[in-house]
Amino acid sequence: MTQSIIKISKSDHMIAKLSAIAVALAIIDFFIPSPIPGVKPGIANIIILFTIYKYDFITGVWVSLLRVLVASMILGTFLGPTFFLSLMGAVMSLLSMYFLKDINKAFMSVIGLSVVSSSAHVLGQFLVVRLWIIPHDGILYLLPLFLLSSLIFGVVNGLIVENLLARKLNG
Amino acid sequence: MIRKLLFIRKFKTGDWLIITLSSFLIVLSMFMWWDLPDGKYIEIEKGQSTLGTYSINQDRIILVDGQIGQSQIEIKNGKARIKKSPCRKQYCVHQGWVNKKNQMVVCLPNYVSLFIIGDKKNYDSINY
Repeated sequence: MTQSIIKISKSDHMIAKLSAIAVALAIIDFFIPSPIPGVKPGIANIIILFTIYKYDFITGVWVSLLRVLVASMILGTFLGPTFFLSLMGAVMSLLSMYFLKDINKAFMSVIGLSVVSSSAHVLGQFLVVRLWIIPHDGILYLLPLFLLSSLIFGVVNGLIVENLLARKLNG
Repeated sequence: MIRKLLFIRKFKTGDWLIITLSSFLIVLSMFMWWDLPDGKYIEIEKGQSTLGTYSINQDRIILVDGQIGQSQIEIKNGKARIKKSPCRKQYCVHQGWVNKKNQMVVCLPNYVSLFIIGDKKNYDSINY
């Protein structure tokens, strides 16, 4: 038996656990039927927001990017257009969270952050779609619809995170 | 019942600010992108080649010989449609009238398509 050289810290375990939940949520998200392809509740964001609020931003980045990677491998979209859409969405929403995470908690709760990050997710995806996958202005016709859904699901997800944070969780 | 509605209290000033801003952006984007301009010309294509460009304001019926037969394209009151087509499923005929810029009617079996264009033609492509 060779001994493991890499020291696995407690935070590694935590990231692994949180990413596992995020991947599970992302896969549930994938199978939720939706009237318009692409309009999804984005429930994996619940775990990312929870991580950022409960732990720190870097852990959130790890969980988010691992979520994109592992979920795409399980769903078979790895390195396909869907994967890059999902990656760009994740990166954009992480960026928006990075700029807004330090705002006073008494002024803005996680609900606001949830709405901003889901809108950033949609905008990032539209950027990729417009520049790369379907380079045609006609696709912007769908943008208001996607922004509206991101607002609604952003508020709902934010409320769920708010409730999660208010509870005492063990483990 | 009242207790259940108390979640409204969780919204802070900043949250309301962001929700308002987001709604404003949505309404703005609706005005920007849901108001498509009317087209000026229609362009008829058979396969890869352009057969001709016609003004959308001049009522007429254009006959196009496609791959499997003759398609009838009608321009009337600033709108265009495929009126008759020899294809089996008649998707192009059922699509009906189009008049907005960048709209199109495509009949794949007959290789005939018509595009509504503004002053100049935009790219229409899907690439990977």
